Amino acid sequence: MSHSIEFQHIGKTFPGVRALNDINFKAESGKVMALLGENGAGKSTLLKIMSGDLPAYDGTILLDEKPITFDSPYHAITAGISVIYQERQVIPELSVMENLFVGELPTNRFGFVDKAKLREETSRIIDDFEVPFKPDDIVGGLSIANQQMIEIMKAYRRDPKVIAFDEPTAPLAESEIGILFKLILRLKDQGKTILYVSHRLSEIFEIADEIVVLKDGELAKTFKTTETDENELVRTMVGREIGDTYSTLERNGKFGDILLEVDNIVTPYVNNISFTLRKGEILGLAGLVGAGRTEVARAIFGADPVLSGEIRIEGKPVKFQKPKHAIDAGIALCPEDRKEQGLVLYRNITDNTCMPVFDKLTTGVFLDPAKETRLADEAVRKYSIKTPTTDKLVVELSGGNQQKVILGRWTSDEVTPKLLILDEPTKGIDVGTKAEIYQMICDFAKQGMGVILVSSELIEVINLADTIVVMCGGRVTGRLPRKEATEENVLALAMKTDAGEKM
Amino acid sequence: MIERGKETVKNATIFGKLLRSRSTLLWAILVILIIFMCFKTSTGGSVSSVMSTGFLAEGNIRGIFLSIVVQGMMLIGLTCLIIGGEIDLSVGAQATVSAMLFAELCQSAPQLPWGVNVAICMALGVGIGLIYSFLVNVLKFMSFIATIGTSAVLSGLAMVWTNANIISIRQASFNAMGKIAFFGRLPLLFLFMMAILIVFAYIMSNTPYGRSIYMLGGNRTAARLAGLNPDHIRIKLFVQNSVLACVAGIFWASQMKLASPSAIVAALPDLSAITAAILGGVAFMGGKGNLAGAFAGMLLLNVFENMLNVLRVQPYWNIFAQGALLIAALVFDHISAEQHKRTLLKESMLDRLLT
Amino acid sequence: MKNKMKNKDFLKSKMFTLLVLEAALIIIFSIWARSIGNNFLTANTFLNLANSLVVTAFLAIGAGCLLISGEIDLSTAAVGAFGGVIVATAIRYWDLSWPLAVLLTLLLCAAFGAANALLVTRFNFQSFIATLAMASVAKGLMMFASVPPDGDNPIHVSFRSPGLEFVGGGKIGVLPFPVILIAIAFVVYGLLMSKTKFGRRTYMVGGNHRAAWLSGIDPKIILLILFINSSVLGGVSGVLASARAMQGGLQALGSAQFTGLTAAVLGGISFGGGTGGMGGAFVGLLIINTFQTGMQIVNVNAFWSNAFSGLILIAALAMDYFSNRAKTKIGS
Repeated sequence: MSHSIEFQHIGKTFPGVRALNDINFKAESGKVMALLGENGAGKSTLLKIMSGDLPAYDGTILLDEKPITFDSPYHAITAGISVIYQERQVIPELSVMENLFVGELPTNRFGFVDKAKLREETSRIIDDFEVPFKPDDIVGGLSIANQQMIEIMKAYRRDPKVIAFDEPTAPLAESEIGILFKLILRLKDQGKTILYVSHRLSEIFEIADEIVVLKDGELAKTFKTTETDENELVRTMVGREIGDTYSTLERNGKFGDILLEVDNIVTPYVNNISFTLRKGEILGLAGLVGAGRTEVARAIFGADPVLSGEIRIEGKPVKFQKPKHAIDAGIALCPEDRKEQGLVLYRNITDNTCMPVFDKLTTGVFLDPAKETRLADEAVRKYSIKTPTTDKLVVELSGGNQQKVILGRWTSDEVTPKLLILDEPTKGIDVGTKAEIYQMICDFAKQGMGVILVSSELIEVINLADTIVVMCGGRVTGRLPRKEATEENVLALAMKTDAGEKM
Repeated sequence: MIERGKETVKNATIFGKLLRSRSTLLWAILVILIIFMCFKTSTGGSVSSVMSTGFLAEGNIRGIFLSIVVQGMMLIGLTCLIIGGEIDLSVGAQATVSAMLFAELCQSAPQLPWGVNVAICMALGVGIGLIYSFLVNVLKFMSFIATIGTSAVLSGLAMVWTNANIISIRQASFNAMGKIAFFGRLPLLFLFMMAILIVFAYIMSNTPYGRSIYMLGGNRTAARLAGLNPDHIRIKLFVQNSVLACVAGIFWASQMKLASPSAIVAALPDLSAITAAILGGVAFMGGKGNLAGAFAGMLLLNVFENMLNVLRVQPYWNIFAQGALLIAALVFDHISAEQHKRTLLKESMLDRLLT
Repeated sequence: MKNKMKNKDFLKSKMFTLLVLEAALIIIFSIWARSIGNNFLTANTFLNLANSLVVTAFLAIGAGCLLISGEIDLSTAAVGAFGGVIVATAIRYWDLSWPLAVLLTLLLCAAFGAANALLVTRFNFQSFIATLAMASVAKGLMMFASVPPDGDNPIHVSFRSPGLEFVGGGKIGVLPFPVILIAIAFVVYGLLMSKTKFGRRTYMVGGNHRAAWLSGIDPKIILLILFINSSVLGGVSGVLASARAMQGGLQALGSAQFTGLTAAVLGGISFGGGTGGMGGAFVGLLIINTFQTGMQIVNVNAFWSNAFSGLILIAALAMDYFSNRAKTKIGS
C-alpha cells in the first residue's frame, strides 16, 4: 500500500505574525522526509496543522492524492495521520496499555474493554520496541525517556498512513535512539510516509531520504540526503540577507570591572554553568529551544533554585530565594513569555511600568498618581511607545510596544539595574521595532549595565553580543567572542554536531 | 537503601501500589473500628449480646445502611465527576428537589404508578445535568462556582415550593420498599445501591467511556489530541451525576416516607461525599482513584460518625472531623505527589549527568 | 473636552449599568408596592435596607478583596458564626470586657485565615476546597464553643453588654452605628484597594501572579494578608450579628456567605481576579439588598430571595464571561 501526503500553498497567520507562507512539498510512501529549520521557522506550526490541532489555515493538504480537511485531532487520526508531540502527551495515572490505546480501546461484543486483547496487543508493540516495561505498568512511574517511548508507540500503534515525529530523540539515550531508528526503517519498509523533525543533523543524515529546510515560515529548499552535506544545510537554514541594521548600531566600546560571575551552578534544569560578565558588556546566550538558556536566566534571577555552585555579583557571593532579592541586588529580568510572565495584560501601562517600584511612588500611605504617571510618561517618551495615553490597557498594545513597557519598567528614574537579563526580547516583534530595541540594548551597555541577552535568533545574538555562550542540552558547549562567531559555528555548537566538536 | 532506591526507579507500579495500599489501609482501619465498636458498645461479653446490643444492634446497623444508601448514590456520580476533573457542590440540593417532586407527584396524582414518578424525577436529573454541562462547556464556568450557584437556586426553589414544609408520601407500596430488609439488617435499597455501584465500577474500569473519563481528568490536552471530545464526556458525566443524585433523593423519600426541603442537605452535606472520595484515594485534580476506594472511604466516614454517635460524642465533632479529614487527606496527597515529582526529576538529572 | 470623554466612559462603564439596575429595582418595587397598597419609598424602607446591609457588607468586602487577587473564601460565614459565638461566650462565661472579647474573637478568626492561606500557598489547594473544608472545621468548633459549661448540647449563647449593644444597634443622630461602621469600612477598603501600594499589588497578583512574582511582588504574602483579612471581616460580621441579637446564634449568617460573594461578582469583580473594585461591590450589595427588602415589602415569599440570589450569581458570571470575551477580541 503506498501513501503520500502533499502540502499545497499552506499558510498560517497568527495575530501579527505570518507563521507559514506558501509551503509546497510532497512526502512519498516509504521515505523519511526530514523537516529542518531554526526555532520559529514554522516546523511546529506545520505539524499542528497536519494533526488537526489548528483547523484554520490557508491552502490544501492532499492525503493519498485526495484533498482532506479536519477540524479536530480526532479527524486527523481517523484519516491516518499520527503526530508524536515534543511535549509528552501521556496520562500519568493510567497504565501503559491504556495510554497506547487512548481514544480507541478495543472492546468485546458487549462494549466492554477487552483487557486480554489490549494486553496482548500492547505486549506485541512492547516487543517491537524492546522496552523494559510491562503493559500494566503505570506511566507516571516510568522514566521520562520511557514516557517518550510510549508517545512514539502510541502513534505506531494506530498503524497510520503518515507518521510525524517532532524531536523524538531529545529525551532518549543512545540505545533507545538505536531502537527507534530501527523501527522507523521498518515503518519505511511497510510503505508509511514519515516526517521527521529534528535539530540534530547527524540523525537526519542517518535516517532521512529527503530534507526540507524551512526558514522564517517559508520553504527554503528541498535536498536529497545523498546530495548534500551539513555545511550546506546549515547555510540554507540561516542564510539570509543581513541588512545594515547591525552595522549602524552605536556600540559600547569599553568594559568595566567584573560584574557577574556564574561559577559552576547546577539547577534542576541545567548543569555546571560558568561564565563571567563585565560592566558594559553584552553576553549572548545562544542555543536551541530547550537548551536551558531561560533556565540559566531564571536561576540568576532567583526564580529557580540553585542546587550547587555560586553566583557572585561584584565579587560578593549572593543567594537569592526569590526574584525580589535579585531585584534588590540590582538585577532585572524581561521574561521570555511577555503575556504569561511579563505583563498584567488587563491593567494599564502605568501599573505595568510601576509594578516593581510601588514602594517609591507613595506620598504618605497613598500611591501618588502624579509620580506614577510621571514614571509611565517617562517610559513612553524614552522608548517612544505608541499610545495616546498611559491609561491604555497593555493588552491593546502591539507586541513591540508591550516589550517596551517591560523595558520601561526596569529602566527608569526609580530603578537602574546593574544587570539586565533580556529573554527573547524581540520575539514576535516587527523589524522596525526590533532595530529600536537593538539600539536600546547597546545604550544600556553604554550606561555601564551588564546585559545578558537570550535569543533564539542566532543572527541577533551574534551581532549584538560581545561574547557568545552557546548551550546545548543544559550545558555550555562553547564560548566565542563576537569577532569569531559565525552563524555556522554557533549553530554547530548549539546542535552539538561533528562540526561543533571539531572547533 | 540502595536496593530500595532502585526499586522506586525500576518498579513502574509504584503508583498502583500506593493506590492499593491506600485502599487496604482504609479497609484495615474499618475492620479495626468495627471490632472495637462491637466490644466497646455491647452490654455483655457473650456473642449473643455483642450481636444484639450496641453497634451491631439491629437499629444501629440499619441506621448506618440507610444513610449509606442515599450517600452512596450521590457518591457514585460525584466520584466519576471528580475523576473526570470536575466537581458538583449541589448533589444534596438536586436530591432534595427530586424528592420533593416525587412526593408532590405522589400526592397530587395518586393514580399514577410510582414507577412513572421515578422516571419523571430521573428526567429532571437529565435536565439539570444538561444545564450544568451547558454552563461548564459553553459558558466556561468553573464547575464549583456554577454548582454553588445552582445549589442555592435549587434549595431556594425547594423551600418556596412548600413554604419550607414537608410533603408526606402515602403510597404504601413505595414506602414498603424502603422498609424491606434482609436478616433484619440489610435493606433492599442497600442491595440496589450496591448493584448500581458495582455496575458503575465496572463501567469505569472496563468500558471505553469509563477509561476516557480517567484520560480527561488525567491530562486534558492529551485526551483531546488523542481524539477524545472533552465536551461530550462532560455532558455524560454531569447528566449521569444528576440522575444518580435524583435517585438518591427518591431513596431518601422512601425511607422517610416524606420529602423535606432542608433535611437531606443537613444530614448529608456535599462535603462529606467529597471527603469520602478523597479519603478513598480519588485525586481531587482528577484522573486517579476508583469507586471501590471511594466507597471504602464513605463506609469509614459513616462508621466513624456512628461510633461517635454510639459513644455519645457530641455530633459537632463529626462536622469538625469532616473538614479536618478532608484537609488532612488533601495535604497527604499533595506531599506524596511532590515526592513523586522529585524522584522523577532526580532521575532525569541523573540521566543527564550520565549521558 | 476631557470631561466629555469621561462622561462618555462613565455611561459605558459597568458602574453605570449597575446604578441603572438599582434605580430600576427601586422604581419597579415602588410601583409594585403601590399596586398592592404598600409603600416602598419610605424612610423606614431605607433604614431597613441599611440594616440588612450590616452583616453582609463585611463579607462582601472580604470576598471582594480576595476575588481581586484571584482566590475565593467560602469559609467566611462559618468563621463569622464561630466568632459570633466566641464573643458571646467570652462575655458571658469568661467575664471579659467587650472590647477584649471582640479582640480575642478577631484574633481567633484570623487563625482560620492564616490556615486557609497556608493550605492554598504551601499545599497548592484550590482555594474553594480548602475554604469549604475549613468552613466545616469552623462550624464544628462553633458548636463546640456554644455548649454551656453546665450542659451538653450546643445552644444559643445569650449575653448582656451595653457596649456591644450600642455597636450592634445604637444610633448616632438618626443613623444606626453599624451603618456608619459600614460606610467607614467601604471608604477605608475602597482607598486601600485603589490608592495604596498594597491594593495595587493585589490587582497585579490577581491579573498575573507570575508576572507579579517576577517583578518582586510576593503573592504568598499578599494572599496571607487577604485570607486573614477575609476571616477577620467574617468575624466582624459575626460579632455584629451577635451584638444585634444579644446572643451568639447557631444559625447566624446562614446565607450571608452567598450574598457577599454574589455582591462582589455582580459588582464587577471577575472570577479570574485583577478587575473590579470596592465601589462596584458596594453597589452590587445594594442591589441584592434592595431586591430582598423589596420582596419583603411586596409580600413575596422570603424563600424566593434565596433562589434568586443563586440565579443572580449565575447571571453575573455569565455577564462576566461575555464581557471578557469582548475584551479578548480587542486584544487579538
